[in-house]
Amino acid sequence: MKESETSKTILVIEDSRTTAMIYNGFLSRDYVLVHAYDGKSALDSFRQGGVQLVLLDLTLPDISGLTVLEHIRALDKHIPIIIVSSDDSASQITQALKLGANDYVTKPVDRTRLLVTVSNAMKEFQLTKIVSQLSNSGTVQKLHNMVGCSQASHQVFHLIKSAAATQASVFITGESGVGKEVCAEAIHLESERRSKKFVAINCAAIPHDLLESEIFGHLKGSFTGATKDREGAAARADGGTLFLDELGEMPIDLQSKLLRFIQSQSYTPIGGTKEVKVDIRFICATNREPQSAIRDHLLREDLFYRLNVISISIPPLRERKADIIPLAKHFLRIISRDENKSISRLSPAVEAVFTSYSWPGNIRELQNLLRTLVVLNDGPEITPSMLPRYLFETIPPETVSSVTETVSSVAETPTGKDEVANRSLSAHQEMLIQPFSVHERRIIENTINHFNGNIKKAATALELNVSTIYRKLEKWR
Amino acid sequence: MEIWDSNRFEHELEHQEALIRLILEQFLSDSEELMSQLINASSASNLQSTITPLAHALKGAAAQVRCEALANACLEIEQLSHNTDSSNEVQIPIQRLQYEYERAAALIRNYCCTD
Repeated sequence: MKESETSKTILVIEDSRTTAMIYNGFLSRDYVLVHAYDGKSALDSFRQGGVQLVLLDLTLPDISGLTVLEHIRALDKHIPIIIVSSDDSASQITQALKLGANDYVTKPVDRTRLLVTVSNAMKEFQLTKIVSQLSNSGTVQKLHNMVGCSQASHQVFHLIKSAAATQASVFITGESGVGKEVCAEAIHLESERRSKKFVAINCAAIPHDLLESEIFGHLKGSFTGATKDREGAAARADGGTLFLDELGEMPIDLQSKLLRFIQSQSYTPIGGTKEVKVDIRFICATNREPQSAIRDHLLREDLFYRLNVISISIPPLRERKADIIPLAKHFLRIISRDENKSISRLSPAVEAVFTSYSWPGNIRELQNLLRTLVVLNDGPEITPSMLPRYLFETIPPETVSSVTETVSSVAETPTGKDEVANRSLSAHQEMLIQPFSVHERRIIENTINHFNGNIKKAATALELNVSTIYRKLEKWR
Repeated sequence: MEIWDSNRFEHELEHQEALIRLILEQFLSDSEELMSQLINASSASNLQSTITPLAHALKGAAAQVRCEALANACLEIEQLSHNTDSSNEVQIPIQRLQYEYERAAALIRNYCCTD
């Protein structure tokens, strides 16, 4: 066996154990085989990743092989899929090829034919991957409002493009501030629906009683306070995309109404009697792990499975450090332009601090920090002395000392002397003793960021009154 | 029509003896289960949803272990159950299937015990 072929994994989707074992006998010398005996477990296995080729039987006990093919193709545009079926009718072949199958082998499978077909498909796939990696690695890619340089970001961009080419529902997961809404909007803008509206609703930001009306709209007089007809998000998103963020915050009874809406693509506004038919693509998101939300009865299992046709998991910023500086430069450019400032770059020491910091509030935290820095400072460059002290709390000592040295050397220059004359040379040491109000503001702002801007939740977590937080925010503004 | 082309089967699996026995034992177990389900289903009313998938499954496995006559008997039932809902019409093909199954299973059992 060639060394380059050692770790090639094939997902064999075949309900007959005997047949699956025979494929194993044919292929296991050259490939690692993973078996799935029905469509659902096949899709679960595929989503776990690591598969380089799919052998797919068209007749499966739960869902049709063509449906499985459609789902896998939506998840990965390039993975080779070889259909293996006893049904060799022309219409089946045509349909499978139309849905994106690469080749078709009829049962009973001839060993030599199978080996040649698999080997050719594998070689083509490897070449596609090499070309894609060579053209992408280390380069900053931009997809609408998303910017990324890391392999993880490139994978997300790839998934967005694949998802955009289909009508399938998408479920996005990721911590607060990673850019779930930006990702959803990128799918919309990449899709054929781009000329219609992208409507985003944050289920956590709207009181439960109003959420149903916000989505489906209402007629005048349907409840106290409904003084006139109001169009809901469903009507506005007709022909376009409806993005429901923080889906786990939606009341469970409304989730069952949403499930019916998704399945039938029709709804009745509150107080109405006539059903309205629409054409909407659904994208939902949550910052909680979906399985735990299901366990805690915050998310209906059937709704999750209906929406989770394509799942996109956006990693936190700390797990894709290569993205931090390109993102910071991207925001700096935009914010400087918006605020009519001339700050256009980060000093090398600031880049080191940014790269070491863990960014618990993710991209939103980075964006907010840069806005503050641009608004409060002047000059061509962001320097370490402009940074808030908390950025130095979690970074390794060696980074702190290199930053301190940079600040010291700046102080030695004539222009640097003025700039840092009244500031401490060691930002890290200064950070330890600060007025209480500085700590208080940082804690409150970080908590609000953590809860995606939801002040009620931040207040509960901090055991403060909502009005106290609003009062403080007003004061800081 | 050959009952079981053991030479071709062995050749395709490159004479890996242990693996061949493992596969054949799996086939005997799978096919026994499928046969029993087929016989039970043959007296049911909705043949297309009961017999067709069972005959299809047995046909695929039988063809892959190179039991051509058994695969053919399955194909006959699969096609017939597509076009009729009368359990009477499938009784004779089911008997033929049982006959082919017994012949193939006997050869395979014999192979597993003696070879």
